[in-house]
Amino acid sequence: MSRVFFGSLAAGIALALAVALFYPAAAPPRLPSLISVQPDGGRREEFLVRWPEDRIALPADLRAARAGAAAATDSAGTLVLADSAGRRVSGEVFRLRDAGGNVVGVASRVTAGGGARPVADWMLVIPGRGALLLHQADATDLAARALPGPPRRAASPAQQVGFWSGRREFRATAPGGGTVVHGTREFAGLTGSFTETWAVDGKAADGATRGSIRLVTLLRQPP
Amino acid sequence: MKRGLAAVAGLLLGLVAGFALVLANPLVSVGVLDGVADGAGITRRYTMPDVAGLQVGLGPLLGWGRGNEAGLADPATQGVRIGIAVLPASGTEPAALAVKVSVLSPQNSLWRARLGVLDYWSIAWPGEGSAFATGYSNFWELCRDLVIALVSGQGRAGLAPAYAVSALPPVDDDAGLFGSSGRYAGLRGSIRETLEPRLDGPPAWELTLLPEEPQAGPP
Repeated sequence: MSRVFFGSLAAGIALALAVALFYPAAAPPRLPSLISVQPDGGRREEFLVRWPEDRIALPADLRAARAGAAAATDSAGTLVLADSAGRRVSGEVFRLRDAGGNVVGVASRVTAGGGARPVADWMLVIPGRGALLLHQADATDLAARALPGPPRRAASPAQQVGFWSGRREFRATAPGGGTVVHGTREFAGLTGSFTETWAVDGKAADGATRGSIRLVTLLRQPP
Repeated sequence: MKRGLAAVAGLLLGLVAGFALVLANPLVSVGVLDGVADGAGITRRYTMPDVAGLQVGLGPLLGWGRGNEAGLADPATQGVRIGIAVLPASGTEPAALAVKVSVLSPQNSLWRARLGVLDYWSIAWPGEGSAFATGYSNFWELCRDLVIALVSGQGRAGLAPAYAVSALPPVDDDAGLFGSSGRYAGLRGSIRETLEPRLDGPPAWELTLLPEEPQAGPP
């Protein structure tokens, strides 16, 4: 009987070590990259964010929506921090899609405005591929506005109906384009530029809008 | 009958002994990065109440129960944690707004004492500038202590007051600080993070930005 006990003991130890060896295997799915190669050897890839459906509702958004706040989740999902000089930064987070409309990751847009040179930083995180960190001068100050004091939630100007008076498309990147600050994994070592374009698809009577943000990246391996 | 009982008892004891060996494996290094000298870099303590997705805990890090959150239920986003925090002001330094995205590391391995997430930061200071950071947080020591505390019946009271979680990133990933605009433009360096478990709520965090050349970076 002791042979059975010690045999099972060894099997238990081996089983535990085998589980530790192979678990957890958490490789995120990787969809095919929709890339077009440019004549100069660079690669062009387009990403999309659709608003309002791609805005990721954080707990504060959900609390506001549950409380029946005037600003619903899809129009006030931006967190704003402002100082007494009127300078402000705002942050918002979205699901990120490839050019085919498939959700491939998440993206954040952190915007600094109210100063001499409004800027926007995009962070595109694609779990199956890596991350792209992008910076641009903002063509128009798109940072949401709020009073100085504790951080508040507000609506991004480009998601308000007044912004779209007389236009259906707006290039948010200042002339010259944005730049790639850093890339990881599949994007490691790549340099390049990008543009950000907003397009409105519909405006509702209550002031809500829907549309998409198109990020076009042009990346290349440095010589 | 007795043989069956002996087999079951042996198997259970073997499993416990095997997992104990994994938890106390002396052959692997958690790879936690060196601590920060007093006064080095910019250190901010923060909490992140506004978080969606993956939570820091043994189950989610092992891949259990993740991806059930609205907005992050797609297959590509199931191992993602995303949140916005305010890094408080200190001295002459203003408060900053920070977005933190964490992704369950595909190279997690119990065998190699790796149970962590890849972190991506986008930080902006009103009127001052902005920066990005990437890093890897290994929660192995926290999870190991959680298991021991649960088995010994101490609960969260058995945890250490703080855990340095920033560790050497897995192969293919990197860690660094990358200034993008304003006074932070061109800044390079690294980050360190410490997690302080709390008995009565979400954990507190400490983030340190460590510029490579302090004289060229922010004061």
